[in-house]
Amino acid sequence: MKFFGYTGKILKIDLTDNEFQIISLDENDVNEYIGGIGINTKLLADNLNPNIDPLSLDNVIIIGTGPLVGTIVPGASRTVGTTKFPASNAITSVCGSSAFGMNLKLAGYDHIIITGGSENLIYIEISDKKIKLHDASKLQGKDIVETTDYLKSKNGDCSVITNGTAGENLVKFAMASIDKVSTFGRAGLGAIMGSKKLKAIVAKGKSGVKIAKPKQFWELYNKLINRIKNYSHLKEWQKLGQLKTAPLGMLFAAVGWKQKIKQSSNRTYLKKLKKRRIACPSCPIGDKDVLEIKEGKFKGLINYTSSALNDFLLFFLEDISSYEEAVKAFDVIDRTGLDALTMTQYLEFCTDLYRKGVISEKETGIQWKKDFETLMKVCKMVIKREGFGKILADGWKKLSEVYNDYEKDMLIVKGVEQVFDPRIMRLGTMEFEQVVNPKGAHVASGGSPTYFSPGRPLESFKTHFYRMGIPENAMSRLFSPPLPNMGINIGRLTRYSEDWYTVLTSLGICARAQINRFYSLKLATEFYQTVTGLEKNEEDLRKSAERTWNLMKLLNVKVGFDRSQDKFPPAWFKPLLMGNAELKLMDFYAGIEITPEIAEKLIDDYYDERGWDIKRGIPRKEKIEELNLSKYI
Amino acid sequence: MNIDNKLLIIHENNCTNCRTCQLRCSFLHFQEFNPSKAYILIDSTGLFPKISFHKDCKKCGICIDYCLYDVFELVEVDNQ
Ligand code: SF4
Ligand code: SF4
Repeated sequence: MKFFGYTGKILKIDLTDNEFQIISLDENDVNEYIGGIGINTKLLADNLNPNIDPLSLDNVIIIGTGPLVGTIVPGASRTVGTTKFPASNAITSVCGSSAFGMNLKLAGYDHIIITGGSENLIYIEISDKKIKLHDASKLQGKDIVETTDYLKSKNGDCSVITNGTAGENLVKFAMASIDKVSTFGRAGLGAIMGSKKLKAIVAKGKSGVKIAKPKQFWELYNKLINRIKNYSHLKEWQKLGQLKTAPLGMLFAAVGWKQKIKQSSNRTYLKKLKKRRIACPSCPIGDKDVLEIKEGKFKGLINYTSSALNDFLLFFLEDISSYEEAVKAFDVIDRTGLDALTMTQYLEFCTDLYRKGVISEKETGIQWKKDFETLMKVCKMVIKREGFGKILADGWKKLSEVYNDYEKDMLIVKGVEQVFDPRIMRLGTMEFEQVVNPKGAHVASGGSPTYFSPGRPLESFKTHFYRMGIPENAMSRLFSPPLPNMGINIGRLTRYSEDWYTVLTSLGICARAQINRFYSLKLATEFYQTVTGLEKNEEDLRKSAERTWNLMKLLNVKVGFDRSQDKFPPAWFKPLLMGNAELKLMDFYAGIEITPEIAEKLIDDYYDERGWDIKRGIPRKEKIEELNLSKYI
Repeated sequence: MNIDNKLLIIHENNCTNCRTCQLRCSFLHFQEFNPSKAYILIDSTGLFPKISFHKDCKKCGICIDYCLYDVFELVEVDNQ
């Protein structure tokens, strides 16, 4: 079949035998799974034995992109990685952006399947001219920035996925990175690359992406881009990126951290740090940052980051109070492929254990404090897997085995630390989804209008629900929460947040709020039709998203994920102390305190909305048959 | 480059490397999205991108119209 939008080819690379195979994209898979996260999940289901050790050579990495990627569709730049992750043991997908997806298409492939492992450190070159495994011994011990710069200088216009030293040393939560600015793969994609002795993947090419219906395509595009141009906050987004919406100052003021308010202000960012912005291909927002420290002891440091906001989040550590320290620490973490959230949570947790006398300096080699010097020492010992760092390098699961009595204080779900604490921002879908997703706490797939400030009229949510393609027959259930004042049923809504995310990520469109807000299921479907020429309707896309999510869940059921693991961390039910403030777990809409009973009811409702068995938290037989997934039971 | 007797000033430091200009140019002239065929060249190897135009550029100006990041400024020039 001749494809438009898609390249129509999948590349399979066996690192053990240095063998390559080009496989035609299966028309049936396109029909059922669209692309991106959908086809990635299907390819992994067909190529992976779920019960393997994620860091063994039996693990498989699928990297893929969607049919809209490589075109000019705004924000269509997603790259999806699907594999079995070492920190959580979950079989799932992670997303990154920058230019890898586009370059993979230009090289002539929609997806790559990587199996086996090499004896010596290598990198893969994928282009429309050749596929080659290169010796990478020169890159051993090099960080993400050094490796990317080296490979770009050798290959010219290309995109690079690489891991840092944390991944090389099999730190279980080590990430990979795309083009220095996009983190890729919380919960250990970098470590999986390390276990395969795969230092990097380079993609480049000159095969253009063709579309089926140019006339209709440009009509859609011009209408959308005019809407984006007229968006009243566009310039502010371009100027500040993610900092535009983050209420850091407000939070620090609540705690009484006056110095941090100034250090993390927009003024500090603009006057003292901002060097330039980087956009993913076709993105009108451009929210990646290049920062430069212009004075002080770290003068001259250039930090590539997916947002300055991530650097500023390090201010949540009590004793990090200057922007220089925040940016320097984040740079070390980012270059080596550690995860900033893991490292900050480690410091919080271990310092608390130290203060309680549970761990000592003698045992750990550290006088624990929530400050810059301690953070740097701990990063080093984790990367090198030295002493106590060896336990930390094996992730929260290991730590909870060793300090079992304190597991209840860990802010983790399925071995991955929380991204969103609902005691700070209240319980919206982003906070709730961390609990029910097999991959544990992650960003992105729980997005919905519940990040609006509370108190909006319920009608205004409806507009967004229609935009996300939520069917009419679900509306009354969404407005039936466990207690009437809660306004919206977060459990039920989460199913549709995941489905909407899956539609966008199958097509290749970025799901971040600032891009996602311009799309509706209708518009996404129209772009899909004009790019590919395939006559799919909104219901087809919705169904394919549901199928993908159910297949992902079925793979995880085989590994043992069921209701018993979909638990709110017990610590969420205790107040969070921030300065003089005591923050409790409240519902996002009316400020009703969430009790363990309400939490369980929301989890029931999530499964019910998915058509799953409520007791076991897994897909029912009828659902599996309806989605044509019986062969994956 | 001159377009309709206007002088083009390029603010390279504003360029985000989003490639929209290249995607638009290559589609207009080759009916495919392909940065390597665009007549506008973005070299992103350094800290800031470098922008130049291929000698075969048609001076149609569409790349400039589609850039959303205030990289291009057209200034009237007096031909006299
Ligand atoms: S002026 Fe026209 S031909 Fe020249 S680079 Fe821009 S779009 Fe391409
Ligand atoms: S469209 Fe503008 S910002 Fe984007 S690459 Fe071209 S010149 Fe740079």
